[in-house]
Amino acid sequence: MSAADPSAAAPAAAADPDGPDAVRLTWNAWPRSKVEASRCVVPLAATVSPARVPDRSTAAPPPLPYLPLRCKPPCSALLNPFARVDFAAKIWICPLCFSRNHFPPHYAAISESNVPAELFPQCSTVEYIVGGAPGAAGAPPPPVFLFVIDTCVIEEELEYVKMAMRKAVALLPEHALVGLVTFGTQVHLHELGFSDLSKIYVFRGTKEISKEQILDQLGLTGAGRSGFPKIPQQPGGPQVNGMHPAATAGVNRFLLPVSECECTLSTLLDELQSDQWPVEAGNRAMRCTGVALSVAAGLLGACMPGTGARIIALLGGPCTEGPGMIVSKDLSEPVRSHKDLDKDAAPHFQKAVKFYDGLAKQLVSQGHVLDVFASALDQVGLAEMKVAIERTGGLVVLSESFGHSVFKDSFKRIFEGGEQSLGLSFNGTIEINCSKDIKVQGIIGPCTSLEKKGAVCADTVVGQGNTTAWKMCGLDRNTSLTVFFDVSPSERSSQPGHQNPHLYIQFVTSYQHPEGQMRIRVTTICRKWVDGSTNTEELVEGFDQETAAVVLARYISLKMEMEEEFDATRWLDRSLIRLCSRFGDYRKDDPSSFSLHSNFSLFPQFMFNLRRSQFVQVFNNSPDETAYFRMLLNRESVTNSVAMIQPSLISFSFDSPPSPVFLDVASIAADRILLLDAYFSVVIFHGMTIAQWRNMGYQNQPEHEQFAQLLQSPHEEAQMIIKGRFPVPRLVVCDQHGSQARFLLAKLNPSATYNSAHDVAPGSDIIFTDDVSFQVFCEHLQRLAVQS
Amino acid sequence: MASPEQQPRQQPAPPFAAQNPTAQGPPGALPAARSGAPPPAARPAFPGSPPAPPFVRAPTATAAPSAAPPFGGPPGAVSQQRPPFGGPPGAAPQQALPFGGSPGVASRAPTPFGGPPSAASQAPPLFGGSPGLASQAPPTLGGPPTATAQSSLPFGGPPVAAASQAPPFGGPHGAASHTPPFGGPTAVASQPAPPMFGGSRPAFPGQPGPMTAASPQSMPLNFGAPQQPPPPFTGQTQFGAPRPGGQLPFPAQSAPAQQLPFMGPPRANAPAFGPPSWQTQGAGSGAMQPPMGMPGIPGMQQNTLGPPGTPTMPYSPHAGTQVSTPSKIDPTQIPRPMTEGSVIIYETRQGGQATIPPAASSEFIVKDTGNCSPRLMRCTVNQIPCTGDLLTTSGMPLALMVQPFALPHPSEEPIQLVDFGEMGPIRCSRCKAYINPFMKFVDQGRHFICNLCGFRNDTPREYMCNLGPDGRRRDADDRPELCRGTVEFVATKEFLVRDPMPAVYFFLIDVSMNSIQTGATAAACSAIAQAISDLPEGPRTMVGIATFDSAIHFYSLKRAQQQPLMLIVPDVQDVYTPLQTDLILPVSECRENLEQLLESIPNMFENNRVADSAFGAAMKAGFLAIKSTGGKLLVFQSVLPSLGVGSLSAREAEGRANVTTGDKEAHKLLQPVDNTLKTMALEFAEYQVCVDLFLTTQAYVDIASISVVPQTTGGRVYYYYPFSALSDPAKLFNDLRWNISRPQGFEAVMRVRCSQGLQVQDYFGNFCKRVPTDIDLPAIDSDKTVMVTFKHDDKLQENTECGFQCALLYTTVYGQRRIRVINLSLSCTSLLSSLFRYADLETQFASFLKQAANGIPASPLPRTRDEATNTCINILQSYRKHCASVTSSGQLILPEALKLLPLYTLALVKSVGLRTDGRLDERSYWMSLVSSISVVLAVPLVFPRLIPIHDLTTRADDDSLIPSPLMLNSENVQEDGVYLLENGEDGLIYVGNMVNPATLVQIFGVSSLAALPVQLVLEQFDNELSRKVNEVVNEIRRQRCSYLRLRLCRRGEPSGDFFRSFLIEDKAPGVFSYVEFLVHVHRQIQSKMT
Repeated sequence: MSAADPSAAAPAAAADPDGPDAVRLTWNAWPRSKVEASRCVVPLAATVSPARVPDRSTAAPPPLPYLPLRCKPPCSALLNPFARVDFAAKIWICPLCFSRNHFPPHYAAISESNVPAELFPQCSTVEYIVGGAPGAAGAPPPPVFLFVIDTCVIEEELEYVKMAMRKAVALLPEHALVGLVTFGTQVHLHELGFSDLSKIYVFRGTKEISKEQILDQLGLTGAGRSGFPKIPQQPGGPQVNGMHPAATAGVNRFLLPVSECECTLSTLLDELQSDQWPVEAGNRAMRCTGVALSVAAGLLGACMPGTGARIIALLGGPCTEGPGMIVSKDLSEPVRSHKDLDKDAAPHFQKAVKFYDGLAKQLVSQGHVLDVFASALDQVGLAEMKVAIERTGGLVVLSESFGHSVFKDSFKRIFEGGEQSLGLSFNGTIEINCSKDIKVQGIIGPCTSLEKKGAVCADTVVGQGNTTAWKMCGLDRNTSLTVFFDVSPSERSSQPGHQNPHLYIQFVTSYQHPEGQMRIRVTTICRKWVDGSTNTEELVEGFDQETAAVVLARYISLKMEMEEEFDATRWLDRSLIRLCSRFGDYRKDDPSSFSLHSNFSLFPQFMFNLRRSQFVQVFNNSPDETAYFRMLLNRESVTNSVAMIQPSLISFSFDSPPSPVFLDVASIAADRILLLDAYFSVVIFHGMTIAQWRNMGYQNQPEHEQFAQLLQSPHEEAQMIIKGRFPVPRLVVCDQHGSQARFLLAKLNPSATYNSAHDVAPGSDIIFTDDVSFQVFCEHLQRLAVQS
Repeated sequence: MASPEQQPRQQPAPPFAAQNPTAQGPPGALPAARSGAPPPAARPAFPGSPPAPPFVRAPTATAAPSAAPPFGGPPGAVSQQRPPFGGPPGAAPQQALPFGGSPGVASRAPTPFGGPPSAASQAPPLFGGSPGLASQAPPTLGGPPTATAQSSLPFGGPPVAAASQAPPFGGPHGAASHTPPFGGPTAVASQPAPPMFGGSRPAFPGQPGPMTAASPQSMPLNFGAPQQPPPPFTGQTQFGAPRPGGQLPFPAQSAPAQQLPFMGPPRANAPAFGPPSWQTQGAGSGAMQPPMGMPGIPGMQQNTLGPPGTPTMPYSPHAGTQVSTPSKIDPTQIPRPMTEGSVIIYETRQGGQATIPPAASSEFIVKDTGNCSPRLMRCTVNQIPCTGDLLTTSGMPLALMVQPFALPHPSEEPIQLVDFGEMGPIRCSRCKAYINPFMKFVDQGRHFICNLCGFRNDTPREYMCNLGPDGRRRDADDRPELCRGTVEFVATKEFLVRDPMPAVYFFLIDVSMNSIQTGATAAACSAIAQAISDLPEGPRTMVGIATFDSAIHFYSLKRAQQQPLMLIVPDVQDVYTPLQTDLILPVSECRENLEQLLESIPNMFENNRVADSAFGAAMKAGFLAIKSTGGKLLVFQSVLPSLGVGSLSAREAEGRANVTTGDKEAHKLLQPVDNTLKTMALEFAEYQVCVDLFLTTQAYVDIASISVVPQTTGGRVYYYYPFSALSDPAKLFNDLRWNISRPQGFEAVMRVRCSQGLQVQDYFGNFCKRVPTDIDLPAIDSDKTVMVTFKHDDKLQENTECGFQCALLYTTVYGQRRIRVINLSLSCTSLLSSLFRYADLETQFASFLKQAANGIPASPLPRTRDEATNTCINILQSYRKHCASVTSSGQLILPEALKLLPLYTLALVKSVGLRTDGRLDERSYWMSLVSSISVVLAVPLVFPRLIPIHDLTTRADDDSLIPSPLMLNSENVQEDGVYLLENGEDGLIYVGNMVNPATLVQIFGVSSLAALPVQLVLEQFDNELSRKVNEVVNEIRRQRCSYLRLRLCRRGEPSGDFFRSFLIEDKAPGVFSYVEFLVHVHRQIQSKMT
């Protein structure tokens, strides 16, 4: 067996790999029994992108302006094209539970020639527009953005922040509500609706403060300040803190439409200073990120409960005081590393995680999102915050500086509309209905269990489990969830004869669309049952190796986080061996006879790269980076996630059109430009000769226009990649043997190392590593797979 | 009236016009006598005495800036004190008045309390009434009584002359000797008031007759029949304690004093207070004092004999008793305070012995000749009992009243500053007492013996000096620390734990709903805005400001940006400061911002509906803001603190609800509700933060609890109840202004040391005590008095002196660290009679007052009242038993020095604090006031002064500015009159029901009773009566250093009853009248005797 040709994957990428349903399964044919399922090694799982806007090429039906029909409880599945309809009797039979349901009167006109859209076969995914916004009859609620800005940064960084903020404010729709919290040693909540002077509520950074306390202190509780029952209420009606007469004035005080507070905001930004509290020598700045986020959450909880709102936090360093603290202010104490976490030598970690877990719960219950833009050379505590970001479906961007394009461009993206729009949606809930015998173990991805128990809950739990409904406070076009299934046939259904050849899974997502209305999106998929023991071929046919690789990556990341002393590499190796033993084609104990079906052909390479990736080899990264990578891995589409696991490499040269090449050191050549897309970074790598030419300025000479084009085309390609991606990847342009070349080399298969330097082709390169190359890996795999 | 230019310089003329009460002897004797005691330049009378221009000074006595008087000197020159009653001379015209009239206008008027004369001459209005009018009225404050002439000035001569030549009080001290101290000759004749007792003496033989004859026979209780036969002044000395040498003139006077306890004024109809030229004193225990007080100035005594033929207004105590109605006690005959006619010059020591200080309430000028000025420190007894038993027997307290920053008389020499350089002040190496005139140098000066602990110290080489033939160091007279009772030392490094703190003022303003709606916030803002200019100048003066309701709002004033920054601290359970810096800034950097902010605060919170007030938290927050430096926290609070740390409940209502069961426990409501605020206050004190509270309220605010904070931190409570947006802002402003501009010090530590044999028992006052020996005063100012009680731990030797030394380490407002050392050395005695004779009534009374106030929260009121009465009875009984046992038991014999004790005790029992009917807060406020009250103000507080003001213009024969007070009984209050009753705090203006409408128009600008405003703003109208009324009020304000809260009282209204409750001689339900009280006291004594 040899590494699959990367170009083999290309055609799949060209079409929409996710299809109109935006659902991909590891296996498209399912074994009927638990045992068979476990023998499949790769779990039965689906990745769903519930808010994905299909390509325009796919003709998606417009949203339906009426409410969907539901099957009778407990099934409650929605009417879908797979339902059998008896037009005469005006009855439909739910494909999931086989219940018969009468059409309601307004469906009376239904007939074979007049079917509603949700019954069109191509409408396996359909959206409904539900009423207006919750509680509001008229206009949909405006988007809400509460900015939380770290001021414990140097002037220069702060200027970048201000610049980014000004741009953002300019991009916001007029009616969007905006609030501002700045923090350093203390938290400053700016009352934008107060015009006499700059009015700021100050919260101390050292003390954990409950939501009730915050509301109470902001005078947002409405019924006067509680907690002091001893004091009789003074006459004079309900009390309101501050200078506003009505108790409901909280919104107007702290969150204002852009149109009303643009001026105040710009003054505030102009006058915003770095934190004024002194930083002692040898100490970190006192930074109370935790309290700042608490305050922001509390404010939104009081003003905007149940309405979509984002807390957008711009962090410039680690939290050093109060709840959520990740490191003491003493510089002699380094920020925790993976090693510290492993050895339980990170004294603040668990406490901080617990704090953010609480914050996550609060935000989820309020339906609000936490986005974190961390721009610092040091860690800021993403590892601790991960829970809050991921549970709320927040966005996260990690960069080195607020001046870096990774931050600047990503930040801008959130506020852009139109084509560029991320399609930020709020308040999503996803429910899953399945055919009998299918259970849901849980979901990995940006969501939270709503703890709604149901028949489909499996006993074993993966990720957010034990529920049939999940909350996604924030979701966007790319948001992707991985649902893990379990097959548990009941006795009756295992009886032959009663068996239905198809299985159905229905995903029902309701969410607040970027345009404000609530929508319900229903995706129903239909797959085949397979009697696995006899029918390996059908299983193999239904295997989606990309999805499988991604699901495994997500699964193993979760395991690494949840299970102590979990040996990921070993687990992966064994899984791969088992998979190859099960589905490979070989003679026992004859490695050379081993071959794999084309549906599996890329899988070993995925695993090889996964083993070497940042998801498994965490020690090369800080816990923050790891958390960052994993959050993105968990929320991105399969295609993007594959790029994280196994970057793509494209070669540009005079000899041939741009073409994918092996992710191997051997692909390096002096007269090539390589473009590596590792998702988080995009590297343009000039071979030595190219670099020399470029340095000599040939591209500027008219007779070498072709060279100029050659130089230009990888940049164009890179821009294409960057444009479609959030967060914006880091673009690295480097030359062979340059210091930045490491961004490429680290990702390549070390087929040529300093140990094998003798047989390196001229112009190619070697990698200084002791890691095994893919070839060695495969040899071992074959040997072990065929062992009896 | 004569102007200074007309005054013959060297002509003594009959220098002591008839008005000097203490003088006796032929005028001719004066010069000789005076030579021994150089009268200082300032001797010229203080307001109210002679008709002649009182401050006449030789033109030559030019104003040498270096000799600037304490009241007018530039800050730096005069021992750092900020001129308390006026700015530096030059600056005065621009200065706002602390007690000026309504803020807007008066604020630009010059001298607050009568600042430097030169200044005063230009800008007249002082305690202005209405702004506009005040500015036209020339003589407002402290002018001499005769000041009706031109624009007679407070302390100054005629404007031009005085200004150009010399501030009358400000001349070089030396100059005085050749200046005729008192008024010109013209004064003599015009003075109707006779000399005090000198002059009266001749009268006695004639007058006592009836009394001695009648009373013993007809009265069951023979009040006041002197045992001593008629010529009372000659008889003598039952007490056998011969006066120390050199005092021969006096025995004659002191003796009758003991023996004529109940002397009334000679004429029954005479106004009770005797001479119309009643002076500055609040109460006249001073009346008895002069004879004893003046021993060292024989010349003065003699002087009074000058006009022997005018005994018409004898000084009552010495006039003998005259009982005109045999059958009953004649209320006119019983002891009442008398007033002093003129200024006394007082040398603290003479002939190697302490002299007896004049009454605290009298007007005197101190020459520090070894003992400190009695203003700074005075003792309850002027001779110290040798044993504790003796003291116990006497029933008298042994205590010092220390008022380290007491305002000096304008003519007094400033306290001298001594700089020992690196070496620091010389101290006893054992007890650490500071060098003082009583340390005895021996062994050719190589050693000195500490007067307090007796330790023999080596004299430092640098400080060596030979002794003269008299055993004193030859340089003793050149070194202030060896010849003055009070000096200041420059503190050396050992006294500094850190750099001296800057003068920091942090304002905290209540902006809760009530405060906004009553106008209290606006008043506070306006007061602050105007007072900013009175803050000490210079870069070391810092200010900050915050407002609060249910949260605390800080303001950063530094910003040169479009908008000031408001930082809200919402956590009132656990407060913090929102900025490390920028909350307090040098006033010079933020003044405009601050003023602008103060202007906008009332508007900003106009619609505030927050009724809660997080007072405790706000204080804590303010404290945190100035914690690093320390400073003053000036809090303007309007409602009961209801939120956050230190919140309180409406205990008063609870008390009322439980009235059936609660009566016994009622006093508990006068205790702080818990320890929260006390703990907070201790922390404040530790960081040198002083809190002053301005309570502008209309409801119960639990002063009992919140006053703990100012009391622990050296501040005080100001109480405006019920707050009136109309009449109170002026007082608020003036109180604030005086608060920040009076002489004061920061981060002070005080310790009193005394000779072996005594030890300090306790300190009372507004301070924080962490160690038993020292008290910490985050701030100390001219109004604060600390009482120090002593007990014997050993015997004192007779014929020795007992020394007291108060050392106050403090930082001036200009950032210098100083040690003010105040020394007092008094003779010891083993004779009880001496104790009585040298008792200091006012000081003792102040002590009783403080003890009583202290006891109020601890026990039920009736018991406190009984204790007060018993203290009085015990003393009198002791005297009766041990010193006057010869007399028949039918007589009530009062020691002369303490003859007014029953009257004052009665007043105390009827005072706001001990009265049953008062509101809780009123009583708590009274207690907080008493805890730091000075001796001078203690008596008036309970024994107010009642002045008729409807007839000010018709008192042709009177030349003192303030008319003689009336006896405090309702007989003196006529329904056709208008009266002012003042106690240093409140000024009650009683308008009778049948007042001539013309008078109403003149004084109040309304033509009928019905039109009288409820809330009084005393304006000055363009008529003489109004002018005079304003003069009187302003003079009182000056005397009391208090703006007075003027209230109108009318018969038939609660206000009228309130007024009448101050007429303490009257009988009130359940309380004795004065006469009854005397009978009661007598009975008690009798019963104890048997």
